[in-house]
Amino acid sequence: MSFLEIKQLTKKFAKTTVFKDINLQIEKGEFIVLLGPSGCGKSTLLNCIAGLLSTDSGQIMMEGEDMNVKHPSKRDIAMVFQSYALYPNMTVGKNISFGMKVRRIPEKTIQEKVSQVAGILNITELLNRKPYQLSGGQQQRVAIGRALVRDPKLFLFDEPLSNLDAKLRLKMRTEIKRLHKNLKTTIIYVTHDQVEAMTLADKIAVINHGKVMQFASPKEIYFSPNSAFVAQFIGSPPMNLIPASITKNATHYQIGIGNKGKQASFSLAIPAGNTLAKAKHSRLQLKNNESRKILLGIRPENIYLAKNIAGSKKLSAWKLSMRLDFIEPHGADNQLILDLDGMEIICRLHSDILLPKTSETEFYLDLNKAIFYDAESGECLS
Amino acid sequence: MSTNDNIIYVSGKLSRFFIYAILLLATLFYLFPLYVMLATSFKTLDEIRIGDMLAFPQFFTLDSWVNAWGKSCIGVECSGLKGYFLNSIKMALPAVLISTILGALNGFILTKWRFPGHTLIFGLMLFGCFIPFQSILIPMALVLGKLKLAGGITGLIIVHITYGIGFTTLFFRNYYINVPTEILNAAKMEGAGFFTIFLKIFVPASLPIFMVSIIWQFTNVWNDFLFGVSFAGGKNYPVTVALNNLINSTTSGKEYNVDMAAAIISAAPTLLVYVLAGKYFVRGLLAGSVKK
Ligand SMILES: Nc1ncnc2c1ncn2[C@@H]1O[C@H](COP(=O)(O)OP(=O)(O)OP(=O)(O)O)[C@@H](O)[C@H]1O
Ligand SMILES: [Mg+2]
Repeated sequence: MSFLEIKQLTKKFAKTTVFKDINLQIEKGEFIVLLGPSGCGKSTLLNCIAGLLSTDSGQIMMEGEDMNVKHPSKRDIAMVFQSYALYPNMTVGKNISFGMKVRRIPEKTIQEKVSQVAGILNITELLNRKPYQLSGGQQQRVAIGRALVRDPKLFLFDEPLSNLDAKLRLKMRTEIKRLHKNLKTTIIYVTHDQVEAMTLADKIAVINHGKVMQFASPKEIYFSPNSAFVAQFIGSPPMNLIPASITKNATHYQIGIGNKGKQASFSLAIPAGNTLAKAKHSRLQLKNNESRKILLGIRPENIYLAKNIAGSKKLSAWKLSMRLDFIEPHGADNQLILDLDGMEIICRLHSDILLPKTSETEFYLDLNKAIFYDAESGECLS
Repeated sequence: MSTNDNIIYVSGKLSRFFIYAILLLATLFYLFPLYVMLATSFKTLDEIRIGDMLAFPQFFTLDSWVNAWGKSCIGVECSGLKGYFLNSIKMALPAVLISTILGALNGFILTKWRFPGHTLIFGLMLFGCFIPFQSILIPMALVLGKLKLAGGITGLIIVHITYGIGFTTLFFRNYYINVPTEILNAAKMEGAGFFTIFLKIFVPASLPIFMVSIIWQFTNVWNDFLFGVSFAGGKNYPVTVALNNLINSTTSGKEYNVDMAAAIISAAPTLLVYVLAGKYFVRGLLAGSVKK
């Protein structure tokens, strides 16, 4: 039995179904990140877990106890709201200590906790101000502080760093990570920031349209996204998804790339005996001479300049000529925006690599790292 | 260019002048009755009879104020307004405070602690605001009679609370609906209960609307005549009714100066409230209409 089990959870607002039959199993002490596009239901899910919204069907079990009947105040959950929700007429200090006062914690402990948390969050000078006298980022830190002074079973963070500048965000990210390392309290954390998600999470749940698309470790989410949606949602720049068709011949697989299914001149043969072909064989389920429309997924860092590739890598790689549209320098690396028969392909090269001058250039795609998705359903075929 | 600027400047000055002139006229127009009342109240009866209504008092006297407050006859009793003034205070304070507190609670519940049928309840309360006073006189009298509260101040207080709740609820509901529900949720999750959240978070956040509600209720309750004359009796009349009786029960001709002084005494509390708290009233009415 897991620490927190969400079973078949469904939530509707009047006619709109926010999510349907969501299942999540969260272990004690895990740092879970919910990642998904705006409006996919992340905040709603947090509110359901907190007990602030009623659910339509399904169960939320915490430590084996059914939460549906438990009042929010009895769930022992601390939450940082997306909208901060500071108490408007209380000073920052009072905002942070309110909950402890309610729980009749001794005044001395309250003072200690407040000053400790204020130190961590850099808001010591603000303790006597009212919320309307604070900037958005300061308000956000107060909201975090209000949760941190508690010692709950579960933390819910709804985009707690969204309003901070890059430097402060990095600092707070480390603080949250440290906090989790020390306290080992289970955390569910909503963010739009992929770096935050990748660096903080033990497990990421990628959500789209109220469905959990994938729930796995950051590594797995990044290297083997199980659907075209996850592939394109994670990573910046995202994975290239190239419409292609794959055909099985007696001796090999033939991949053709072309606009609107029309076979173009780009094509590649993978010998059927190749390990890659074997690996992809089972899920593709192709008979001889049968073909199927797919999306060929390849991360920008798995595309190389042909002239720099030698030896063993060449065997599984696929040489293509693409037009270089322009280059975006990102400091540590350069992103090349390429044109493949009208499609935009992004390639990421280390900034040390000498960039091509000609506009038509040979590139290698590392097919060992490529993932195939069904063109219609986006389901993973690799 | 510069001539153009000049024209604008001059016309700006000119329009300023007109604006102020019009405002001044309007002010004088509105203050005129008050001036007449004050001037008359400080005159002797003789001066009023012979003199010009607009003239400044020649023999400045406070006699009529003293009479109106403690000596004039109301019916058979000749002890002025003071007892009735006290009645009004005894009636207005509890009526205003209780109806405001109930309104705040109702507003809080109707927006943040909803229950099935809350819209219906609110609708009915709103409806209560629009029932004409006259139409409830007889049923209310019957109810007060059954409760053995007819003729007394307590009954009057209950009537005013009942009638005021609709308005105060409306004020607070419209104010609290703009307070984000997350604030309530955050407090709930920290373990705070209904009254803690209401008293520690929502009441302090709603002082402007408390001012509005108090001023509104005070003015209505203090100025009420109909309920006072219908449900109170004899010594329990509020000052408005007493004023009417004082003016009508003069035996030896009209004592205009006493009447004026009595009228000013009766109106003084509401005037005072407006002068002292009027700015909060405006602020409270505006609060929520502009996003902070
Ligand atoms: N009270 C409500 N009534 C009706 N629909 C709602 C309500 N609250 C949220 N929704 C809808 O539910 C969906 C999910 O909302 P939610 O706030 O959970 O999104 P989110 O994933 O947190 O988005 P964001 O990243 O922008 O915060 C949205 O489509 C939203 O319009
Ligand atoms: Mg949200």
